Amino acid sequence: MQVEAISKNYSVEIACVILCCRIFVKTTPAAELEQFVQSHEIDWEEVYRLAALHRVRPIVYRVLNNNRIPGPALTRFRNYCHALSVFAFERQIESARILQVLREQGIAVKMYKGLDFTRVVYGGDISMREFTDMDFIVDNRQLAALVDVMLSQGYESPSLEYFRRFPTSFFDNRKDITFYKRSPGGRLFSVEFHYRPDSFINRQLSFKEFLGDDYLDSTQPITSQQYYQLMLINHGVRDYYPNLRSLVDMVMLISAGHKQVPEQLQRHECLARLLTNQLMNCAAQPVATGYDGSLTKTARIIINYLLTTSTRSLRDQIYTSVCLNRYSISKFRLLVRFTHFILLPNESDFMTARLPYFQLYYFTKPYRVIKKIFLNS
Amino acid sequence: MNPENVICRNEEKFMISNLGDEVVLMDIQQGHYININPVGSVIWNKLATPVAIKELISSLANEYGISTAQCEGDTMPFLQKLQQHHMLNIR
Repeated sequence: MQVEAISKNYSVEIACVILCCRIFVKTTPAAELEQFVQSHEIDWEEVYRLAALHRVRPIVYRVLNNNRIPGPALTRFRNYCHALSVFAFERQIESARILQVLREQGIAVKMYKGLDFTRVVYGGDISMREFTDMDFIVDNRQLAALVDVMLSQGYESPSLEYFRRFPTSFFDNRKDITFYKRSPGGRLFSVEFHYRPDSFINRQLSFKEFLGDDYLDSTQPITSQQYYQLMLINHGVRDYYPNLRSLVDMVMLISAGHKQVPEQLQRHECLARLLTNQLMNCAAQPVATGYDGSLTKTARIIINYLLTTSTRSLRDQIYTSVCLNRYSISKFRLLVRFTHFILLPNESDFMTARLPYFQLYYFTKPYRVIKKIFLNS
Repeated sequence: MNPENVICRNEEKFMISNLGDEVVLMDIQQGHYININPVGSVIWNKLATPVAIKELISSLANEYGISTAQCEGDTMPFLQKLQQHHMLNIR
């Protein structure tokens, strides 16, 4: 897609953000930015808002700053990026501390996504990519011991009740457990321990398949080739490329080279190629699997979300994923899975009532949701 | 510290981030943040490999089109600050 067409059909500001991303991933020459800035009246506050929404503020700031864009436009970006550096440094230190504490207790964990991803894929500067959580991979057999250690370190988990009362259901239906703690400075640390890459598309999928048998060996960092597959799951399968950051990630990974992906990820890989080609100007070779109407329709829907920056509801997500499936039977299976996902009890249900069996909570969720809708209206 | 010394930056105790034309560092042990302004960042980047202070000053004077004496007067206090924060290795 031409930047001018985006500017005309959507907005000058989203076109500016996309242009910055393209320059960052080197699919467009930097000179185009100066020309673009000179020929359009740009609302820089809106550029900042969109960059924040798409989680690409450090990228936009770097590109604007390198290209000598007027100072006032940069102030908010600069302030945010300073804060992000501090945020990243603090989480880097806390991650190292958690790794050490868990290692001393015989619990093997490995850093994943967030800081580790930025280091591997963004050239080592941990504040070049917006992130929120500290993520680790763990073996689910060590989860009980891990929970005890994390609680002893002052962390709390909203999933504790669920995990302790129904551990089997927890392992089956979840892919991670989250902990929170306020730092002495009042900042919130959020830590996620993942024992499975995804709990939706395929619950049997394990980290072993992507990272090998010694996937918890922290002396062997996750490579960009391995991240390519893991991010197809994370950004593609789970979130349907929710923001421009996810597409920048994919372009960075495509540029770094990768291996062939398992069959169940191939359509998501095709989708990634279509989106990065259209929005990031990435001219990577198309993958072998055919591009059909449903795939291009899904890409069109996602592009529209990304360019209009409308928030995607669960209904939108269901629609997008149903569109992506080529065959009626797979669309039906997906709808069944979504229905189960929607009915699946969550932490709020366990807090609402104390019932003896997990299955009974399947009835409390609709009740709670309907009550909430009724109260809100 | 004198102009004959060879210096390079000590990164061991720091986490470093490049923000546009500035550099932000965090002292891992002390938990202090250090922000180096654009001119300081130019010097910091030149210290990636060992360099004699007099050569550093001469190169900066050329780059900014100022006299060596003026450059030395501006640069030495900055280098002393880096030294105070243990950000330099000096030979």
